Amino acid sequence: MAGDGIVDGPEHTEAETRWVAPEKQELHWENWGEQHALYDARSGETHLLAEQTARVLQQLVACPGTAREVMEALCSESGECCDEQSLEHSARLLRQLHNVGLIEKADT
Amino acid sequence: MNLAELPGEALARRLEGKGILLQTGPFTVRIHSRVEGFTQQFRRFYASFPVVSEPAIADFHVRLIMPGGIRRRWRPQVLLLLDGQEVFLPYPLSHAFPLFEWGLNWAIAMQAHQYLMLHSAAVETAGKVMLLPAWPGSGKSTLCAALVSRGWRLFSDEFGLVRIDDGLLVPLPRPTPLKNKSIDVIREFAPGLEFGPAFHGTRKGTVAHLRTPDASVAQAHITAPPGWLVFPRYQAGVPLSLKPIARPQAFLKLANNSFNYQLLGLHGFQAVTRLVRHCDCYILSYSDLDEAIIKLNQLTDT
Repeated sequence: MAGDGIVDGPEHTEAETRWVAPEKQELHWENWGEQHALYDARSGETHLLAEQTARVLQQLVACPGTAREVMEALCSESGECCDEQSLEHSARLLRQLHNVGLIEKADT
Repeated sequence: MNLAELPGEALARRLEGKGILLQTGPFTVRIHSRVEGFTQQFRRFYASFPVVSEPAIADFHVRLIMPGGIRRRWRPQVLLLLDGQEVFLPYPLSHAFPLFEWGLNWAIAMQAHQYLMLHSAAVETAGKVMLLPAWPGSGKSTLCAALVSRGWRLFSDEFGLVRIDDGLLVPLPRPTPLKNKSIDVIREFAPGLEFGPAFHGTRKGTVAHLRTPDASVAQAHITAPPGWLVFPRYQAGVPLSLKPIARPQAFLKLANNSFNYQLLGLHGFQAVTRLVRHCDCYILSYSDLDEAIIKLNQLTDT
């Protein structure tokens, strides 16, 4: 699906990937304003996350979804306007979270 | 009873026989030795430490022995056994005391996982502890010795022991090993302090131990909350600077500085975050001890 001005290609595919986060009780947070420390009880790893990345992960913990769904939920929560850039940003943060093992693709 | 109350002959007999049970901070250590020269130095540095009455369970068993063989005649050595296991190569016999100190540090670092263990000096003033976390070469011990010489209570030169349950710091006062140039720096800075002999040619160069203040030993059972996290960095010629650092940065530095953060898992994360939450966090760059101490006293007075 290529709606809302999102072009076909790798980004399009990624935008439709469904992501899942660990159960809420597996993640332990410490919030210092713009930065968050996160302990992942499954891996024993500690992560330092920027505010936006933490929000994306917390949204995914609340509800699995695609980059678009995550973005829309966050924009709705904050009252910000969603655009292509927001979607790309959201997809990039999800990729980063995936790379460090904090989230997984729903179908794997 | 303190170690000093045991007559020299009786101490030697105990060390050679069933061992001495010594209380050092929260730990009970059974110490055996048949090594020439060790008893005298041990007695000197641990004179005010409590001897635990038998029977009691020891946290660590430390035994110093002289390996046999022909080498014993021309280059005598000393071997340290921890809980019966050899963990270091033999040292020259004359280095028995520093070997004992390093061996006990090693035993604590490997086993005392009921605490979050930071590689840090810890000193107390006005009921709160200042942690000075640093890796070797940062001037941690020198700064710690200087602060103690100006009336701060010594918690530890080497270990920030954080109780997991309540986040309080647990004292572990022991002799402070100063190395190389630091020895003369502190001799000059605080001429009244009692030094032991200099041990030359150790794996850390020349080492000399400072005797633990009796008052710090007497209060070794009194815990205190953390107040300040100061990451010290000695560099010749640099102007004094005490800069606040953000808590996320302090968290990373502290977690990386811990002996057992990873091993403690969630408990480690919670202990480090709580510590950072309750402390003011700074990086201290210094080259002049007097200036550094004035600055730290100002910090803790406010």
